[in-house]
Amino acid sequence: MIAPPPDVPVADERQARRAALLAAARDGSQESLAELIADLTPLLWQVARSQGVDREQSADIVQSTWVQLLERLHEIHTPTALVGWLVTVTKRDAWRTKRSASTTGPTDEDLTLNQPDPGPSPEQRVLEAERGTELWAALARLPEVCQQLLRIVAFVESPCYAEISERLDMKRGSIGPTRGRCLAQLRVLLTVDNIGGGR
Amino acid sequence: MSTFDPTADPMDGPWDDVDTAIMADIRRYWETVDPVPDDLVEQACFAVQLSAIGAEMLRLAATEPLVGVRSERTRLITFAGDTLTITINVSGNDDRSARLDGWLYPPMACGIELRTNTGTQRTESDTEGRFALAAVPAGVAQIVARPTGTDRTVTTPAFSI
Repeated sequence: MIAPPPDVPVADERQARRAALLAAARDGSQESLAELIADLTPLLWQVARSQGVDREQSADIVQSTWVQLLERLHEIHTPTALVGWLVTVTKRDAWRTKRSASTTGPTDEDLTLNQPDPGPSPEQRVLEAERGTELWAALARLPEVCQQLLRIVAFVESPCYAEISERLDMKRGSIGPTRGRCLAQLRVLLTVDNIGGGR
Repeated sequence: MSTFDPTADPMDGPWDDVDTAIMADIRRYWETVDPVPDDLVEQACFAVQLSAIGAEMLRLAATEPLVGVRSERTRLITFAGDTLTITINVSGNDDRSARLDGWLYPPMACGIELRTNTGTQRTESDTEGRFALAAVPAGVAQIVARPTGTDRTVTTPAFSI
């Protein structure tokens, strides 16, 4: 409240690494750009998928976001701004795709957590899914906005939370859902579920 | 401009070890049930190399596996943009390569390049907009179309053969 806004401390080594990669990518280093793509694609994937877009369209959206970044690279100077920009573009595109497909395309079930896609690595997945059942059950009982928010934020490092929350229109202090409120709700559900069971 | 309070989580209050653990669980959960496609990073890296030229990139419009054909790699993919649509039929050859038959809409004669990791193949579409490449190597590929008589460059996104 009182302090002037200093640069957000780059506590995270990963953020420092990203800053270096971003600078190098702006100077035309393909390797640095490739490393950023490898680093941040998992986040963008979850952003697109959490909007209810199918896997093939989500892949197209993520690829397109990276291509669009090239034209904007010179305007983006911090890793936090980079993550914010990427998330915004991905989310907007996913929205658009979802809307234009909604007459013929995937059902709203896709939007919620009901329909995990089949895909590779089946054995490990079954194991993980079983272990995650309790978490899954609790998550599924959260409001949809909370499900989406937590899914995305789980792929973001803490220095970027503020930026992400703004980009997701979930500003601090607003009435809507925040990571803290959603998480608090989830913890209550998990505690309740744990009574008599436990993991 | 926002104020920065280092003691608070910028998203809403401080968070503790349990929060951290839960968030890690959520991440693992989604990584497991909805993993990033294996070749997405490679495709994106491939696509950004080309678009430095300032080409127009088409978007995936539809993809469908063709039922009843012998190779599961056979599929029909449509990429669409404001002024051009490219549909390709990919069918697996006996080796790991694939045959690629393409159609441009609107039909036009066009220089066609197919970029892959191992090099670029060139052909041309006829006036009906058809083109074909007999053996495209397995891996990531991208089509670059240069409509005859223009200086436009249109590309598909990178896709996997």
